[in-house]
Amino acid sequence: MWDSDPGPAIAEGLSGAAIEMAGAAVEVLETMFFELPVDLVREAEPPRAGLASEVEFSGTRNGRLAVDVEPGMARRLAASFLGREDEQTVTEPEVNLVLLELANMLCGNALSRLEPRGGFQIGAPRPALVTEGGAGWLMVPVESGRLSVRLSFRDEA
Amino acid sequence: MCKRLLIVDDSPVMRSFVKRSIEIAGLQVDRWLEAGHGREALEKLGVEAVDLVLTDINMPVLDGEGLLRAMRSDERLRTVPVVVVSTDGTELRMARLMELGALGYLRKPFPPERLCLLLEQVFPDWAEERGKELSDVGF
Repeated sequence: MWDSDPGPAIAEGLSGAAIEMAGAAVEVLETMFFELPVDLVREAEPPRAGLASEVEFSGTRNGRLAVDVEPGMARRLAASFLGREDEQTVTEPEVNLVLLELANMLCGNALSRLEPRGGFQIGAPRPALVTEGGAGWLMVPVESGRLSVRLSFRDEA
Repeated sequence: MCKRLLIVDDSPVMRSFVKRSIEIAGLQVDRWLEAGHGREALEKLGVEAVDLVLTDINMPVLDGEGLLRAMRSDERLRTVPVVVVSTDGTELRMARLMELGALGYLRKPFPPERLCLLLEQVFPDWAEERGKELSDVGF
């Protein structure tokens, strides 16, 4: 039984950790970037190389979160996060820093949902030079473009 | 009723976000201090008093837990309110930081209202003033 209204469905065809990852992505994008989903979150092919960042974690579970954002969307996200109306005032270093913070927030939020009683050390987020291939990518469609995110655990590799 | 605030986070864009959120909440701040890690925060607190510290947990050099421990063992800093702002929302971590004396825990992502509620707890004088202003305009 639900303690409260579970709200509208945000994902389709997902189970387990992927559902929590989808929930984390939607919450982070809505709350910190004012970006609303325009469709359901689904599993997808690995993204074509956009701007990517990643963060590793250890503790109750070990693994990595990778996020890839279309270049135009990255600038818009950075502008929203920094409270700038004009995207052109956002510098490239600022875009990169916001993407690092995005990976950090997605990782922390997803792990808190998956293992609320767990204990984790989340490493420093870093730019990812190559977007990983393979399965497990989720695509989050929002107004300004598509965000792709993948949460992988080392013990499940 | 102006305040002095210290924001501690290794991400300059996150410091900027927290600062803007507090400005939107309407708290009058006449002095903003920023630090990229706990050690730098302690250096700044050594030369200037503040009314509130907002700190991240995962930072290089000295993390948020280390900062909190150092502040609680320092006679001059023991009573300075500290609010933790972090992506790590696991129960164990939150409980440990509250035991160490954090006044509140704000898990990222956070809506502005949640930050407002915490600020009202830290600054009841501001909360009272704010409540009066809101009732004056019919809320």
